[in-house]
Amino acid sequence: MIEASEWAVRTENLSYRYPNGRLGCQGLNLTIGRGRVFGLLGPNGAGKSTLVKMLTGLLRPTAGRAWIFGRPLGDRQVRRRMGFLPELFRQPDWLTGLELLRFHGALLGLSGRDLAQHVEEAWNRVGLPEEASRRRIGTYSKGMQQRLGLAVALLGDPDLLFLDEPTSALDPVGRRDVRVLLGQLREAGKTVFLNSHLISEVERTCDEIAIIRGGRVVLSGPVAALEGDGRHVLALVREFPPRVQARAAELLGPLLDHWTVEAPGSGTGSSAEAGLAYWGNEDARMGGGLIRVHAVLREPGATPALARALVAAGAALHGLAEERRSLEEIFMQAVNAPVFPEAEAQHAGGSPAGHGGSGEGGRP
Amino acid sequence: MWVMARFVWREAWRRRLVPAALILAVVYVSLFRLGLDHLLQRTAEGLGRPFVRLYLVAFMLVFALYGASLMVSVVTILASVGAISGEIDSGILQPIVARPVRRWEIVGGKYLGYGALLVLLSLTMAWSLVVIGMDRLGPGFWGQVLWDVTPSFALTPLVVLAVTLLGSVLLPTLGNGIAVFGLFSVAFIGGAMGQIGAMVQNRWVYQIGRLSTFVLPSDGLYWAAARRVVETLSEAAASGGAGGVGPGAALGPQGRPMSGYDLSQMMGPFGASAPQPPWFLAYAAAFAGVVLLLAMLAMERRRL
Ligand SMILES: Nc1ncnc2c1ncn2[C@@H]1O[C@H](COP(=O)(O)OP(=O)(O)OP(=O)(O)O)[C@@H](O)[C@H]1O
Ligand SMILES: [Mg+2]
Repeated sequence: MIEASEWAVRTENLSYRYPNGRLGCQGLNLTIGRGRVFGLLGPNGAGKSTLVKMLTGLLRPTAGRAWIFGRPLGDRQVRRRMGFLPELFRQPDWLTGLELLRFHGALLGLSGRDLAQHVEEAWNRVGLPEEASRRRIGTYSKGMQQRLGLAVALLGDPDLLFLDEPTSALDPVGRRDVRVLLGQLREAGKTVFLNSHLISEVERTCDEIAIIRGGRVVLSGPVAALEGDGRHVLALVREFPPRVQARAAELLGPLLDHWTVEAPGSGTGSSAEAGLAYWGNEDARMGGGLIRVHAVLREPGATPALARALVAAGAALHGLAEERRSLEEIFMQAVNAPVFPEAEAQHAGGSPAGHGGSGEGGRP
Repeated sequence: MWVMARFVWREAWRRRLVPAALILAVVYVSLFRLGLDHLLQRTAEGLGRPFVRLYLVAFMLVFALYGASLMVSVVTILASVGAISGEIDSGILQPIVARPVRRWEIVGGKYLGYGALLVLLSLTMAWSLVVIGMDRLGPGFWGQVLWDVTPSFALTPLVVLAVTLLGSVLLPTLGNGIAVFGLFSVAFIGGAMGQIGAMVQNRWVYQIGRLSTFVLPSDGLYWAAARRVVETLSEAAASGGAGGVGPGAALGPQGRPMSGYDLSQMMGPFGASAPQPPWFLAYAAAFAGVVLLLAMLAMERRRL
């Protein structure tokens, strides 16, 4: 029915311009692999909902193209395999929860036993009390309505789910339930497109993320690779003259991509530094006296080689740790970084994932 | 489409639209019945002449049908003014549109759902009024008069519904309400102008009025029905067959046989002296169809 395609979602210069001239999305290029849990992050007004609305057929792209399971947007076969929880999750309050699910089941073309079974399955997955199923939706609390919206999205066991802030109204238990649910969906090989402001939620549940801002992708990639890939290492040395640098670089050879050297006292407060302080390195904790070397290695696992090279080159090595940034740090940096208009103008697509290391070139 | 229609029916029932409309209809029809009987009793004592009876029944019936037509139009507008726009604003429609349904089917389903209910309301009211009125003239020509009002009263809600749904796709709810009521008022005043123009034989007023009934054929539909009812009644009177009223009914006020023209003249503007073109019903049906099609097309391009 649906042709085998490696990608669940692929967009090509996808753009949306609202009639008032505002650009909701501009030239988005994204690919989401099948069976991945994808998180889309971005500040308010970044265009997250606009993108989801285009992909679910609520808005027609004003430029660019997109495919879902290899078919262009709007394909009805594909829609049958999609579930959607909109940002505004109001449901018709004159129906009971069960009636709403049956209605959506009928829209999916289900009937009879099949329908009843799917409805029950969806209901049971979102943790709503049995008692509520025959009650008018108007009598539900907001969180219950969101759970019901989730059940609507899950109805018919879709292969691709679009969830626009699914936990915005949920209590902590509900949030955990959703996290567990997303885990189950991943196990079952489903693809999930998640919009969220809760970075910790995304960090814990998503395989891949993209950060958008002003309708453009500013950063994207697998979460693990963005956070800590074993390639970013912080070394603390007493002195690091050019001679020592050159020698160490020579010893490392192709293992080293590049490094940035930071003068004492201009601490960045990175996680690696905090880690070193925890181990009792007085100088690091004080932020004084030591030179920070942010090394970016070509491949993970080369940290011992880096240590050997530094020592062999004659650097007084005081500490060494692999750097790992939290998604929150990555997010803050991505959305606060200045956007260069000329770069925007000439390159409409998303910029490639930046190097993870802090303190890379361009520091004042 | 059927799924959508059933969705509408359930909503109409749950939100008490159906019971409210039914109660309104019952009150209206009962009032007509009470008023008519009271009037007939009082005047029968005084005048006792059969043609007066015919005249009173015809006048009251045509007048009550007018009110019923207005009520059906207004209920139609109120019920469906936010059928699309309101549900987009509240976020109810978005998950539905994301389903494997075509957007025009959503509009079609709503049309079907509301249309069926409103036609039912419209015909129930019109038929009840006719049955009560004709019953007061004795048996004989119910069937003809029922048939006279049926096409118009079936089409009225369908025409108004199509326009309101189109507006609901294109405009926000409030704007749509204003626009449709505006159109409706133009047709309403136009219809009355046409009749008065015809009555006082002012060609200009008549033509302007007639033209405006084409903008929204709801009022024109009423006048078409009224005209047919008056014609049927006066023919029946002329042939002396006004049910149990007796041969005297055939005689007009001057003692000569009554013609359709007489009855219509006696009824003032409600005599429906301005005829609609014979193809007016077809026009109204085509109007509804085209507007519905436009609404479906507009829905395809609607932002949500
Ligand atoms: N109906 C609309 N008309 C005009 N502009 C709009 C409309 N809806 C959204 N926008 C604009 O499009 C941009 C993207 O909005 P969007 O709703 O996609 O943001 P978002 O990332 O989902 O934000 P949030 O985190 O607040 O949900 C914003 O600049 C917003 O002002
Ligand atoms: Mg949003």
